[in-house]
Amino acid sequence: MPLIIYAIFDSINYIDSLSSYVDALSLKSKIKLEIISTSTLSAIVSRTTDLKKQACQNDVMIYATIIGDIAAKYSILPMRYGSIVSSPFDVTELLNNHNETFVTLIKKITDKEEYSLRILYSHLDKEKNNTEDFVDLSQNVPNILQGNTDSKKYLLNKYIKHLSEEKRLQYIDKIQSIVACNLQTITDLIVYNKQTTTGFIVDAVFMIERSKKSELLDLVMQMQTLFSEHNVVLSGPWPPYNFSNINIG
Amino acid sequence: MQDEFYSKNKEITILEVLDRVLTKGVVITGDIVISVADIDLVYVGLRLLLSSVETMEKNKQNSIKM
Repeated sequence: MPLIIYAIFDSINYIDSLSSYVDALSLKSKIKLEIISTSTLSAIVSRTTDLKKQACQNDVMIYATIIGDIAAKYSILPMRYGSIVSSPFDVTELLNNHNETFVTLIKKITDKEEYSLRILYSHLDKEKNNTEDFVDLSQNVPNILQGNTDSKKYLLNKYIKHLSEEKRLQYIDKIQSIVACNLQTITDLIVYNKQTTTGFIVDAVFMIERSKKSELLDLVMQMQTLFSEHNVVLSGPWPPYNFSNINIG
Repeated sequence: MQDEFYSKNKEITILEVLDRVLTKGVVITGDIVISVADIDLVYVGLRLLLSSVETMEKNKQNSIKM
């Protein structure tokens, strides 16, 4: 019978307490969760008979909720949705064949939580950023772009957009370095995501020790004051998805 | 006051959850992995995520109209 894998954890330290927790979670979620273990690692799994049923948003949310519930109390490596194997033997093979990789990763995330920090332009900033006033036109315009022809105007427009984009990126770099300096006082595990839209100034994910949560909140409050013209949004704690990005073949 | 920092928008939170569980985390590839109904799982994951974005955009537009 196929098995869905939810997460991997350290057997040595957590097998007993996590087993009880998983039993309680099975009752709550109405999904029979099981644990398959080797001497050092364990995987949380459930059996499924209907694979087609898994491809819907509701089941994905249940899957994510189970991982979230466990990660709130224990240090686990969350699996990306869709980790379905054919048998318990495959699970133990997976754990044994990649033991060192998993153990190293688990050590990295033990007793830590993931958070996301985003700084976004407010809607007022967006309007400001879209106007040509954002670029100082008193700067010398290159001779080649001066003139009244359509092509000159087109090139000038492109040049202004280029200057505007350069200015925006310099501003973003400045804010990112301030954020980096602040976050580095509480953690070394920080990843900056590529900005998917121009609304983002900072999109960072990081892991901090569970004991440092109040320090983090104080830090974010300071940043909210420092960047009062922008939206500073903190979310978390999350399971360590962004710090478990490994591909096991 | 500290709670103000946490995202209160439920739809954005669902999107963030789906983004994480469908695109991040440990990935197993190879012969031991079974696909879902013979559909490549990356495609399945992306469809679920895109559905959430579409739903969120629709709801946002509906709330603006109101």
